[in-house]
Amino acid sequence: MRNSQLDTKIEFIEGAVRLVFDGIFFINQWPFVQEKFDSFISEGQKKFFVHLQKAKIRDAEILQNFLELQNNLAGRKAKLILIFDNKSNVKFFAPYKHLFEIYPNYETYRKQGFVRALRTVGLQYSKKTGIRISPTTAALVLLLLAGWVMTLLTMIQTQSEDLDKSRREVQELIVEQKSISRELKELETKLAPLRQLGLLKDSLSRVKYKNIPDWVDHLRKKQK
Amino acid sequence: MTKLNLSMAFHLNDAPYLKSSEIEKITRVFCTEVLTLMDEVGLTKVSVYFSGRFLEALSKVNNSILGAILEKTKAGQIQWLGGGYFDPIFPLIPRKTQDLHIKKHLALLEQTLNVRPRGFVLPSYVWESECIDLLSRHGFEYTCLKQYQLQDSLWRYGTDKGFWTVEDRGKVLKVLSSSHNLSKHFVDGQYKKFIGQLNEISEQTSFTQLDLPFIRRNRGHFHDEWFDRLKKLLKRMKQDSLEVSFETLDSQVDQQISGGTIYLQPSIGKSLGLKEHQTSCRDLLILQPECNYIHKKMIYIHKAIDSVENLKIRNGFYDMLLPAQSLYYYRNSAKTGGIRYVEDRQEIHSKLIDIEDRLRKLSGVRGLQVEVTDFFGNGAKEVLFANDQIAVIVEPKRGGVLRSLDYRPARHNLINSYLQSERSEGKGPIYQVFPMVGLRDVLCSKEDADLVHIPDWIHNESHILSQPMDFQIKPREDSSQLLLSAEQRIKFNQVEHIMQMDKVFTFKGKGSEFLWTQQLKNGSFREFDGYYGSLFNLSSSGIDVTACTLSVQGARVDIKNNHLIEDVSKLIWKDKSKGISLHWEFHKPCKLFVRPILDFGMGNEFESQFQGIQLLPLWECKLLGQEKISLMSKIICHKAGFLFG
Repeated sequence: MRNSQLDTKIEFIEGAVRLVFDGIFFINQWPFVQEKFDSFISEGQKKFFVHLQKAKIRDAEILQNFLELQNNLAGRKAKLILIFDNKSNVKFFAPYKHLFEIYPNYETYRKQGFVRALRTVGLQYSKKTGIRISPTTAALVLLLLAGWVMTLLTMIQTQSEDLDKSRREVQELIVEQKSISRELKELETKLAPLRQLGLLKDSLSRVKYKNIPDWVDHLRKKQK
Repeated sequence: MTKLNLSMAFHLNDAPYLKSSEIEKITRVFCTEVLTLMDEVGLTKVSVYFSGRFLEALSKVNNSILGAILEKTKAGQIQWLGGGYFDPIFPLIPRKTQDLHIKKHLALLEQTLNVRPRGFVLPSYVWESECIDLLSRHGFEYTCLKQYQLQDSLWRYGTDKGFWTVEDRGKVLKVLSSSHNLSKHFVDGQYKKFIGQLNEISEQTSFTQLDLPFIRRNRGHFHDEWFDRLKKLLKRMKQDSLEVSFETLDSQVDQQISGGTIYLQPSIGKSLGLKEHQTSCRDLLILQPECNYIHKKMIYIHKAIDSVENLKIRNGFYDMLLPAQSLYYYRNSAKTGGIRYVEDRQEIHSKLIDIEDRLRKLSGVRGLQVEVTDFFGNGAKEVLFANDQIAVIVEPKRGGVLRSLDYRPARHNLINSYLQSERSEGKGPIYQVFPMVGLRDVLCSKEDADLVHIPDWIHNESHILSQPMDFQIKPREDSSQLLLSAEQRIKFNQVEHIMQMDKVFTFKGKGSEFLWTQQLKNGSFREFDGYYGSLFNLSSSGIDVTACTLSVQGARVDIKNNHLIEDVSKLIWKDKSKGISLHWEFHKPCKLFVRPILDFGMGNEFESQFQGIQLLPLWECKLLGQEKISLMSKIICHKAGFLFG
């Protein structure tokens, strides 16, 4: 290890271990890598980010070792996330890229949190119910549910608007009724002396005016 | 005698210690004096170089001065030269920052003076072939080096041609030479010799050049007295009826004929403080471990910045790194400031620690960072530990020593002293320069463990255990351990002793303390009866000895003298100017040797100055064959604690 051409950096970030490899990565460095992982797993670490952006992998066996490490970690319910986007490493991992979780950089991994959450939901369903739901299906189901919720919300909103409109109309009618009542009282006051002199027959007292919606119309009809 | 075309190039180089107000004042005085020289004394044309901060100040000088400067620039009487914003040693800095220094400087020249320079000033004339590509890439046509730099490449031929060209993969750069003798006579105030030299030159060639760096000495001392000297000199030249016409460097290049292509070997100017036979800036890194450390730390931080994903933030960090690349900090001379000065080292360490700290905060890393890397680029691995409070570099290759101990809240490296020895005199073996370190293992006989002998064998490095050690790391979030082991052999009193050393450092995820455990096993079947010790060079942040105190077992120790104190289990070192205290606790009481570290400082160049203290706890070891002994100690750094201990 003393003369190794691979630099190693170990950091602890957001409940995970980040290992950064920089330099030429030969198979003889693998025991050191494996030892580090074993040590972390024994301490209960569950998530590992392995940065290989600056690592120049020289031996084909390293891919096999990464596969074994991935299996080993999965068996212990731990997760391995590889970070790189350089051409040589992309080509190196290409045969098994579907088996690894690979991101071009850490920022992308963080940004893809929603998609990852969906993936996690998919996996949880399959484990608890025995029904296998792929991430795509999980996405569609969620989309459907979201559609339903949207429709319901639209309906509630429309009904709420209708209710508001009716309330406004009732309010307007009450105001109008009050103003007509006031007008009627004024008219009655003006006609009171004539009624006392017996010059005027009270035709209104026999009318159920309370049921008449529009007094002006009603009087016009009476005049005719 | 032919008519002589004389080019004068006035330089204002970067001076990190000058405050903005001082820079503005110097710029104002400089411009006024140059205008006086041109208007009243007959200096018709001049070339000028301002580093970045002086150019910034130029845009703030009053309008009448700036107007006159602009007018003369437009008329071609003042010609401006390009350079690096903070005057870095270009071959020693990464390409990204090379470009940034030049681009920022060019942008400022364009913005302030509306000029695009053709010539480039290489700080301290540090030349390597890489400069051809660098300068051509940024559109520069020529640079100017010292005559002796070209002479080395010209064999027996004189430098009497206008300029020479250097070529690299199709890119061509013109190289002018400035007279070292002329500038020496000027600096010494030898008018007669200066004029004599001009006469001598005019008999051989029709032109010559004089470079005058107006900021030469430590901490940005501005030689404004040179303007009076120049006035007198120009008057003398008139009186002696010398046929001299003043030209800019641009016009020299346009008027003179090329001497042809040459191969220019790596070379340097004098201000770096290297000896005559040391021809590359890289010698500075090889000979001065302190220079090497700040250089490697800068490179390490640059790499970390490269990994920042957000482009805008990344560029912000590059900008932060530029001032820390100034050539000033690398100077290795007792006269000019730089690496020999404790304040200068403190300042550059502080800048670098600050950037490193910001990068750590940005990365969101919690707890301990552990890194195994070839930090010094020497083919061996170093181990770096860092948390929010402290950062340490351990060098297994050198016997598992602490190469640095950064106390981050105070932005101070506690292992940062400088001790001039044979190495810088060119007597010792160049490639085995041992830096100032902490926790360096020693083994000595009982007779050697006294006040008379200890300084001698430390100086001779005769009892030091410095075999490379194997190492293993156990990294954990809350605390990590580094196990170093090696078989160390040492011979004294005609007997070879073999010791199996197992050293363990325990660093914690939080806090500013670490544990150091040492197990010694007598690897032979012969009895060992002597002392084991660990040498720690602790540096102060300034030369003021009164700002530092050392308390051993609660009693104050006079740190101006050497001491050997018995039965010590705790010591406290305090540096008031930085507000730092370091507590060192020993599980098993020891005999403690203390002495001040003295070397050049800001005062008289021949007077030694206080740099820090050397601590050597010694434990008595009487080990039979294959017998073991275990020792343990704890080191804690604190920020405060002056009122209440």
